[in-house]
Amino acid sequence: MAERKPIIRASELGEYDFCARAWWLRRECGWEGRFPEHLAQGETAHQRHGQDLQQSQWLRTVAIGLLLLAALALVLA
Amino acid sequence: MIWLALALGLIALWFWRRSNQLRASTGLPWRTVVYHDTARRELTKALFSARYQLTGKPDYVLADGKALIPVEVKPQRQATSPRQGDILQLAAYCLLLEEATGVAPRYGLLRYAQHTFQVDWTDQLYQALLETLDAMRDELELNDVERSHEQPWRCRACGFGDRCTDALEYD
Ligand code: SF4
Repeated sequence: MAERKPIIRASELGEYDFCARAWWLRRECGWEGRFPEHLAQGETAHQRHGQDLQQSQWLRTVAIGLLLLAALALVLA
Repeated sequence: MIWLALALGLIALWFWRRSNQLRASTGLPWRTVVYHDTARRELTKALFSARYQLTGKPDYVLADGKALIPVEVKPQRQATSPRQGDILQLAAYCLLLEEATGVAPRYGLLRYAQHTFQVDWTDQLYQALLETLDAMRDELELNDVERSHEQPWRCRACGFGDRCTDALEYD
């Protein structure tokens, strides 16, 4: 049977490019960085971005709905 | 009824403008969002390629006809050109989506704090990705790995700088 290669996560590519040793220390030695607050800030910024994206989609759907209602009101006028 | 139609039209216009403003602030185009992971929902499964032994979840996947567009967001990154590591991460998502759907994305999008970059999914990038994955797997065979740079700013910004024996001198 062919030997299984280690699985690599896409996000590791960025860590590896930043510094091979940092990537290795986290992956193989299980080290945690000393800036956990950076991770938390990043997570919050990600969530905000996602909310903005969803909200933009939602607002556009409502706008289209209102335009249809306006058209209906015009027809009935 | 005409007044009602007018009022509804004006409110619709306001909603439309607001949606455009919000979408512009995200730096992403008006494409259907077929998947998003920014809420870090537990149920969303990572993509996996058995062939490449590669896994990952893009922040978003947008629809581009039959093809898909992976999006990676780095909301705190301030840069006017994309970093190589981010390009490779996005390339990994392109490969994973291609494996999963059978249709290659034409490109992926990288969103930084101020800029959005389109990264084309080319043969060249595919080769660079495979080479990097091979290099990483080679490093995993070793008992220790040396740093891959000569830039003190990286060590200063690194979460391991205080404990790493390879760290470049501070200041
Ligand atoms: S401190 Fe060590 S792990 Fe961090 S960037 Fe410097 S060499 Fe790499």
